[in-house]
Amino acid sequence: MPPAETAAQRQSVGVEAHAGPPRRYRAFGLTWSSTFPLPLVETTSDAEPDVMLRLCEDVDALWSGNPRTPDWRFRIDGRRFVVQRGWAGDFRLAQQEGVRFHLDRAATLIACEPAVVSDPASQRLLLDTVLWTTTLLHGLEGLHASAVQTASGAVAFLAGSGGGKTSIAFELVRRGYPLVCDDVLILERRGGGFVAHPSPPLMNLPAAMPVQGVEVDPIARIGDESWVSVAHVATRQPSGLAHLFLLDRAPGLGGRIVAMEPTALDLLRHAQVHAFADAWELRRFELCSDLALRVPLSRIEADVDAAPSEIADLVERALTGAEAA
Amino acid sequence: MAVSPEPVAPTALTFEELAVAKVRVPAYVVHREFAHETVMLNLRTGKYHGLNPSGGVMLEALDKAATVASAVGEIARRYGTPAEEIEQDVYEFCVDMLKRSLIELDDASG
Repeated sequence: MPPAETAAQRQSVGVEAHAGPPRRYRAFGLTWSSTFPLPLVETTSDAEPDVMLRLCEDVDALWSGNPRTPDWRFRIDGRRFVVQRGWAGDFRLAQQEGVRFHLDRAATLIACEPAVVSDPASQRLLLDTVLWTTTLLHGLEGLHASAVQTASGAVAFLAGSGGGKTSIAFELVRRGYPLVCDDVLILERRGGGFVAHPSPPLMNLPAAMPVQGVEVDPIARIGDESWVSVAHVATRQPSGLAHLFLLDRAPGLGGRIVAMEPTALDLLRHAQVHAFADAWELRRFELCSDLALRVPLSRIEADVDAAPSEIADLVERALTGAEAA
Repeated sequence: MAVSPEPVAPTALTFEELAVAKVRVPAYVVHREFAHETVMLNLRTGKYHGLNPSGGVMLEALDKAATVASAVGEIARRYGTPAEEIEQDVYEFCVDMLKRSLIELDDASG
């Protein structure tokens, strides 16, 4: 049931006087509304929002506090990002020496510090990490992966940070495959398979990466990356997850794609389940097991210096072969 | 009040004692079978364990059989091998799995 925004909620998050009418967006399989502008294409759907985003001057005043619980920590942009759960089941999300957010217990209302309006890095953190971690609390699951849409469905690329996920996805976008996501693929179980939900149509590209041939709208330069909108070349439609590719790059590796007979262990480090979700360890095991058993997985072996176009050639050949078979 | 029996250290078990016991995968252990490996997760420890195909066959047989001895018979039939030749393997498998808390024993004799 969609959340009702009460007067108390509006007051509790201290909505800014300058806040405009709610805008609605579709991303990660959910409908989001915000009272402040975001670099996303608004949806024309009348669906009630699943999650509302509001500005709040004092985010920490909303948190019920709980210094005893273990944190969920990871690194974003070289800085620590910490998710904490409070006594009341609410969440505090904070970047080290950076922007903070508060999420209510039902994961339907995100209070954001005003920096998300003025600071591109804070806004990127909201539209990436904060949104996908919130999505996981709505029963969806995720993979640390980039993905594009093909005729047979979504095709995802798994790798650690710096492993080339973005480069291969961007190269395939250049070849006409719509982007599904750049960094986190949100999945929903349906009909015995997995549906891939598009992320916000945004990418983080190495600043030196040539973007000729792809219609991108630069938003900001953040560190050594260009944060760009790719709304013109991204899909807005969910699709079945058709194939997973594991990027394995090492010096001297020849370029080839090898079909795997995977186990859950091959996918474990890429799976995203909210650390505070009930039975998260079991859910992560089941996610990885079901993916391994139901979705074809291939390993892309390539030299560390292999160009994205060489890897894209291999992928296209593999996909063509799979379709022919 | 029910009193739990003193736990027996796996290494102290004889095959004769083990033979009459029923092996059970505890509720806190989940497992899935893949093409060439069975993967087990102990939810209490968060540790993953991989079993090769032989281990997967033994686990399946032990989980289904009323006693370890009958599991040995089932495995022997499956591989076309005399039971005496695989008893030791099954015994060592059970002891290893008990040490890792991936299986539990029930006294099948009641």
